[in-house]
Amino acid sequence: MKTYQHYINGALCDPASGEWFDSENPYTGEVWAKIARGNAEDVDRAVTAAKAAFDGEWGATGPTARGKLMVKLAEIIEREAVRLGEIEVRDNGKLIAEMGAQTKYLAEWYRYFGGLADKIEGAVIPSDKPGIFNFTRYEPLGVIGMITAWNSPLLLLAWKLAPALAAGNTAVVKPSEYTSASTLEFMALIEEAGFPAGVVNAITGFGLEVGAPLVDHPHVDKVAFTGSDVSGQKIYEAAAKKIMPVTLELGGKSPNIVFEDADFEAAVMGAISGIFAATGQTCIAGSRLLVQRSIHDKFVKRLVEVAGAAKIGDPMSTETHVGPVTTMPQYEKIMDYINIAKSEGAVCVLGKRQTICPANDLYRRS
Amino acid sequence: MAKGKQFVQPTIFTGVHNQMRIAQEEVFGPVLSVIPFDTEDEAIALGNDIVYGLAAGVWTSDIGRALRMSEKLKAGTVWVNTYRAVSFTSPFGGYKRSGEGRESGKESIKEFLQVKSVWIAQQTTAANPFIMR
Repeated sequence: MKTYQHYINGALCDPASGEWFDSENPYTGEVWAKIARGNAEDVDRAVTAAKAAFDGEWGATGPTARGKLMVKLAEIIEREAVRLGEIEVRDNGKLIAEMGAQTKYLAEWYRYFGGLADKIEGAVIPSDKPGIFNFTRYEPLGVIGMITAWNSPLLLLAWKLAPALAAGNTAVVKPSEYTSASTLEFMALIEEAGFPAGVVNAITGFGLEVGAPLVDHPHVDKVAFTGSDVSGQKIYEAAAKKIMPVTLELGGKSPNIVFEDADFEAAVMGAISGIFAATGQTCIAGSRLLVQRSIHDKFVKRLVEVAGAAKIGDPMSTETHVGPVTTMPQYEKIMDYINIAKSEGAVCVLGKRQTICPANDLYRRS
Repeated sequence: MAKGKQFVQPTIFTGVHNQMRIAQEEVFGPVLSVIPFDTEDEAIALGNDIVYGLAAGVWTSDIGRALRMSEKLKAGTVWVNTYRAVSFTSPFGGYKRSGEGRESGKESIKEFLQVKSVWIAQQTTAANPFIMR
């Protein structure tokens, strides 16, 4: 079985705990990898390495050189995109049709921000005070803690890592415990691109054991997080104790609003893509569909027709429309909400069979 | 329950009122709540009556309505006649409880920078040192 270690200071290393946890394929339920179970000691080693790189070689690497490394990384990502996409699917069960394109696309973040690295300009301030020359300069923050979610680990990392590196920061990354593998595979690409040791580090494990000590660490200067609003609030509260800035990309309950003057069929497909793509496991899900009453019934009928025909099954098949839910706790949460909706008096017009398993031909009626 | 059985069929609820939990809380799964409205103002009020503000979609062939809706919806992204599109070129992030800060787009690099103001006096002065310069 594949084993994934932490990546600290340019080297793979075993967890201080000596413990490992399983990574499961949500489609087959099979354990396919063992992942290092990190703790505060691992976090401290990674942050120390990231700080040393910031104070040392990376801090001395000019913006143009940083940008070139990032463009090189973008090329490597494109070369490895198919493999990375397959690893993402094995971990989170999202469709290969989506993840394959996404892993290729994420190279663009590194290219775009790599190009921006040497265009960060301060200003000369026209001071009101005589005899004063006043200018501004933009400086990196230092070590950035990056905590990503399981639905799009490498894309969510790119959103944080690309601007952070371009700006001259270093990073300690903690992927979701459900989807550690792709981030650890990604570390090999960082190394191949030629980033100095310690610039990007990855510690895997659980929120309380890795995420919390990362947020609390005195040498972490900012945390960028994608996940639930509940976790985001905890991070914000912990950050307040250090007066540390954060970036938080949290949840949503986004309205998708259809007017009677809309292109009917395009709107139906838009409603479908808003909520059933990625099995609804996306922060931007259009989970509230507001439909003008004049077309409501006709719209719902067509929606049920299209969504009802969606093929559920193997995310590695390009024929599949809806893959598995990534985690068992998430599955249970969805089931709870379906029951809540029913108890609130909502009318279930599609999805009467709440649990189906095409892999095992198992049907369970709720 | 055994592993490998985590499938949920696309699920659609009608007859949903915006104050129900199914309309207010994030499910993070393939569960859609359909809520009817009559007027544009009602659509805006319903759309914004939520603690979150990450995104919104608007489907219309009226450009005036598209612009009015995109102005009035309290969300970090508004898609008109498209949905679930992201790019490295465009800022992404949440209003309200959906987040803090923005990712992507060139402005987002400032999320990872801090600004320093440097003052250089061109000559020394005999100013009173006991008051602010």
